[in-house]
Amino acid sequence: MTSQIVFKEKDYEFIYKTRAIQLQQTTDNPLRLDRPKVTIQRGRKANVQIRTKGNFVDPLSRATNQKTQTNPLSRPQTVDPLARPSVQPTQKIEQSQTQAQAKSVEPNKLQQQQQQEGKLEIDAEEKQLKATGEFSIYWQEIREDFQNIFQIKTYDLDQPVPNPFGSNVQSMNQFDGQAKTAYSGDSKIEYQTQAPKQGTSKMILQKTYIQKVLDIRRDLKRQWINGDKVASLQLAIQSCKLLIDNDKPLFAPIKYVYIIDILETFGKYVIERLLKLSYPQYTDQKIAEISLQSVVGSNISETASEIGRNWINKIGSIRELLPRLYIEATLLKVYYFIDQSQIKPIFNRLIKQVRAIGDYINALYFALYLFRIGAELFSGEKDYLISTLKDFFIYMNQKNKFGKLDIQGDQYLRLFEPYLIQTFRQYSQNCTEREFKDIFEHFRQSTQNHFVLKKMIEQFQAVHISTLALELFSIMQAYPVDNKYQLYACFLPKIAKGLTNVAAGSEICEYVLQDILQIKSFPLFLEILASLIELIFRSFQGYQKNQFFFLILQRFNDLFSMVEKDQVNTNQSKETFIKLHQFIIKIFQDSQDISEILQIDTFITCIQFFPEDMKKLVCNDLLSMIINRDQKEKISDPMAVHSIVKLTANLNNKKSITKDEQKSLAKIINLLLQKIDFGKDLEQTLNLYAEMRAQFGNISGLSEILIDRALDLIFKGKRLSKGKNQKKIISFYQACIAYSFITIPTIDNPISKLRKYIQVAQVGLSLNLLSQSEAVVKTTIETLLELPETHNGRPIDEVVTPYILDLISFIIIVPDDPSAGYLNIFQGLLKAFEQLKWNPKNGGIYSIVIYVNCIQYLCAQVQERLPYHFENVKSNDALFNKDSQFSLTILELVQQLYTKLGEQAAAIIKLNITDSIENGLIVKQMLSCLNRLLLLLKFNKEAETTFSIFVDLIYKKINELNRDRTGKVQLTLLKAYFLQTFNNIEKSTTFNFDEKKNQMINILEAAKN
Amino acid sequence: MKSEYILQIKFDKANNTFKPGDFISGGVTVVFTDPTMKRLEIQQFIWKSEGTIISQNKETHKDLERMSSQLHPVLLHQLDGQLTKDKYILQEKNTFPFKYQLTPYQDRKILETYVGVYVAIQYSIETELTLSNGLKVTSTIPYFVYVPGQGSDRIKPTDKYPRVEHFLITPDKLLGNSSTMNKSQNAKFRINGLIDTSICQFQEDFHGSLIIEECDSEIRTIDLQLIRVEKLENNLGKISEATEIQLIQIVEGNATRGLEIPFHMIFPKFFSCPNFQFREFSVDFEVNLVMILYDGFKVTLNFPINIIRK
Repeated sequence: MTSQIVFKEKDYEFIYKTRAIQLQQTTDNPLRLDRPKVTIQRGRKANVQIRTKGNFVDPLSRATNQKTQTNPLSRPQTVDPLARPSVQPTQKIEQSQTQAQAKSVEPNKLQQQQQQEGKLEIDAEEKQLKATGEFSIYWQEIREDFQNIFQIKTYDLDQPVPNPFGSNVQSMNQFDGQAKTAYSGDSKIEYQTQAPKQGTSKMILQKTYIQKVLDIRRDLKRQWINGDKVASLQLAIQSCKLLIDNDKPLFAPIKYVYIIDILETFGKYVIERLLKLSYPQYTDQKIAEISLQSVVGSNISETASEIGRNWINKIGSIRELLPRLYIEATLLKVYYFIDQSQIKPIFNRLIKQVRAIGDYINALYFALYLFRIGAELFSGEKDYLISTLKDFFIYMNQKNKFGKLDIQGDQYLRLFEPYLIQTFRQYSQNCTEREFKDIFEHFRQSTQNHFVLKKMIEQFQAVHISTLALELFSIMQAYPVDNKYQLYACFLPKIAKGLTNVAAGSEICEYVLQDILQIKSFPLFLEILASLIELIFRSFQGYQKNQFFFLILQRFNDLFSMVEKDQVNTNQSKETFIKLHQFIIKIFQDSQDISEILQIDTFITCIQFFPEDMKKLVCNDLLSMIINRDQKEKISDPMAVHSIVKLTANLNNKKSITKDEQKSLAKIINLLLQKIDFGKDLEQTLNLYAEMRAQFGNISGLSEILIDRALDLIFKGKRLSKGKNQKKIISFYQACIAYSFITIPTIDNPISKLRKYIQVAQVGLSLNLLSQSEAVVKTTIETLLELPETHNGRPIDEVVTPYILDLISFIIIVPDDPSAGYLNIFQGLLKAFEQLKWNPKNGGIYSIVIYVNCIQYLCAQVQERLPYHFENVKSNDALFNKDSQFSLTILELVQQLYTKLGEQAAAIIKLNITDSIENGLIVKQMLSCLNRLLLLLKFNKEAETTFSIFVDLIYKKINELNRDRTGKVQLTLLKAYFLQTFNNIEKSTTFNFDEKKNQMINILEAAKN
Repeated sequence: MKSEYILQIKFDKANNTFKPGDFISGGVTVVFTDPTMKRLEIQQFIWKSEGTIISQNKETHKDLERMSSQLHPVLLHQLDGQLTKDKYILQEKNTFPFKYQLTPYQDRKILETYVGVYVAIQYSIETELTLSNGLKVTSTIPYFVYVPGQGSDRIKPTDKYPRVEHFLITPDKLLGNSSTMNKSQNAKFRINGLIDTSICQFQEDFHGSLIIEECDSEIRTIDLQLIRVEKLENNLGKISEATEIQLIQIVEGNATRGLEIPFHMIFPKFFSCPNFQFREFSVDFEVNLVMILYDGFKVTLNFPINIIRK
């Protein structure tokens, strides 16, 4: 073999210097840039047990082959039962509601339309009422209760009710001055053979009824404005008479509202008039501002008080009890113009007279009206509330009478809801603890009806409820479960807010829990739960609390699977899920140790039940909550981590996930991984990564993160093991490398892939995992072949060159398998270069760079000692040192490469490249190559041909550069380097390019100017 | 002939109500219907105030008709006076005040205004303007009188105010014909009650309470019936006429047993008055408590009451 080239031996330092920086960056863990050394110092002591299974099987292969079945952490997939769409969700609700009220007639279109019209009219009236602000706040409040409870606006007003209006409106039964004979003298008993007839009047529609009531109101207004006060009074009385008959108890609240409207209007008119008489000089507005309490003797005109008395006299003679009482109550304020001191006694009498009304609906609705008057006239007084409530409890005991009508008990009781609400609401205002205990005592002595208790709890403030929490609770315990649940729903949030006694809280919690676990209705369960959670957080800590959650969530899942059987429509379930969402968020927010919750197995299962879109939202929320927790808090429990993975997996819908989602998901996972810390259990961590890969293999960008983390693990392990347990730790290293190696193909970006391969190979070698490392390097080389022509719009050679250089410098220390021949890897690499898709435009200038580096590699190989080493890794210098065959092989290779360089340069000369920047680059690269070669090798005469090709190339390019302005600029920049290079050539070789050199120098000089 | 002048009487007191010894004051305005007329010549301009007790509607009652020959209106109060001594009235000064004290006529006494079926007590003031041509223009306006202390004379000296009356209604305490009684043997009821006072002040109301302790059948209604008994008595005969003057429902429907239910009734302003007895006239009151049951029973309980004016 004729040698053109002789190796230089002094270039060791040069190589070292140029490579050192890159080396640090590549072989070290990229995640820890602060780590300064390639090798890891191992300490003497290693009390760390790294749990490693004997034969590490790649987690990915296991995952793909056997899927989740053998995964001990996996759970059976459950179908979300609530996600099933239902056809008519809203209609159903409405129907069930109206059905509860009355038998619903199958509405045909015409009827519906009519109903619509009827409703519209009433609605219009309603709007008008609101706009004029005709009612006092006291009535408005009660009125709204009625509307909410009985849904008056949406109520199906197409039901028949007896017609009380007849053809002619009955006139007021006032004594008309005509004599009527009467019995006087003894007390007696008579028997009337004709029992009084029950009215069998015609039926009319409810909406017609209401329409008529509205008509009365309009009439009343008209009459008043016309000055016919008596007619107005008659109309008011007439409307009150409508209240008497309660054949249709369910209609009672509806008519009540509209009839009381009339009374409100009437009362307002009367008082306004009296005020006007007392303050004739005032404007309407000013009169409206006067408070009745300020009306005192001196400023009441005699006329006003006389008119007032007349009113009182008139209404005192109203024959029927109910209208009389109502009008008396309405006009109670008139006494401000007569004698204020009478108001209270009369009011008290009226309260007592409630008992005189036999029908309980009427009685309590009247009481309710009195409360409204009482609230206005004697705010703060509560005695009358209590006394009526006591009566109410007695009424409830009248088994024959209370709710004997053709409606069921609960529904009947519901008619009294406005009454109860008003009672408790009014009572709870400025309520002292004593007062509350008082009312509670009354309740306790009653039948302890659950409905009453519920209303009571709803209306009173948390503070009060909490003071008697245990007492209330013990009452609840006695109820049948259904009632109990309803009560819990309102009771728990109250005490959760107000309870100060932790022991009581925990006691309640435990009882509630026992009950809650038996609930079968899902929405109810959630409702109670939402409030229970708060209490749990207040009452328990740590383990106990989690135990609770565990039980609750377990029940959750049971319920979910049951829900499937029931037909739950989507609307309802959506609400349910929103609640559930809030619930889960709440757990997370309130929890001090998040992993405790995550450990709860059922927690994750329950998230699976969410519909797809909600699920994402929930998971996103939860994950960001996990991430945003205290930086120092790490999650180390495997179960918790598994839960997190599951949560995250929910975000990854492999079919529909978008790029943006992928990005954000990768970000989230990265943050999560930072949060997770298994401490010394590295094996576990690796398992996690494997699982992650299985779950999120489709997420681009994630694989890199995982690889980085896996590699990081190796160094962590190295640090922890401190040199002990070599066997185990090595198999763990192998596992990590294997994991990384297998993960790399999932990376989309070919360049990243390449980079990772190199990185893994480097790490592998640093651990002295020779075969692994070699395999990775080989794969790296194969990867080169698969590279596309362009990457992100740039030619591939331009992009890949730095990595190839990196690879070349790395394989310096990769020991060759002696059985495969010398420099097996390197030769493979060379072959790969031939197949690399070089960019034809710039004529493979990068190949020149690479080949020069290859020569550099070879030069390193022939040295007695390689420029750098990994600790404990035997490189080629140790293997083949002083092996003459080895040196010869290298020399041969160098010569081949040198020839190739010439060929490449010649190829470039042939190309017609006009771009000045490109040309400038070529010149620069060529100059650099020349310098390199001069540093590395000694050339003899035979080598001149290749050299002259280089010079020719430079010459040509410099000439071409001289043509335009940009080129000239390039030339000025290159000049110094050029001169230096040619000096080097002269120094190192005997070659003579003076002629061309001088010409070029001239050009360069010229370009300067 | 078209009247050219209108007399308008107005009391200074808005409610036109006075008690004995009060000074009744007011003014009479002569309204000229012809605004161009400035001055009116008159002969005299006087007022007359009169109060009488009369029997009325005699023709509707046979006995009363028979007695009526000796039943004459009795003057309780009579006064008169001049509104002006001048013989003319000027347009610009056309209001003339009057003022007098409400005093009984001779030895009689002032009784409260009252309008009944056969008996009425009325007070009024009449003004009379005699024009220069002898024509008279008159105008009358009633006023009301209340008499504190009226009725007290009808109470036995042993009675005290308040006169509380307890009552208990059970079937066996009631009168009735035999068929009713037979049927009512099945009816079981027991109603306990209390009238706060059966001597009632007119201004205050009639009130009390009852407890339905027991009642087998459903109660339809319980009413209070205010009965007025007008009596006229002279040598020609004696009539007693009971009239329902007010019917007030006190219990509506089947009230709850065992609860104390208050009742309450006002005395109507015009159809009732404090009890009185004057010469051949007397007016007294009773209250009937009427309970009607759904199965047809009607139970009536009667209480004579005294109404007094304090």
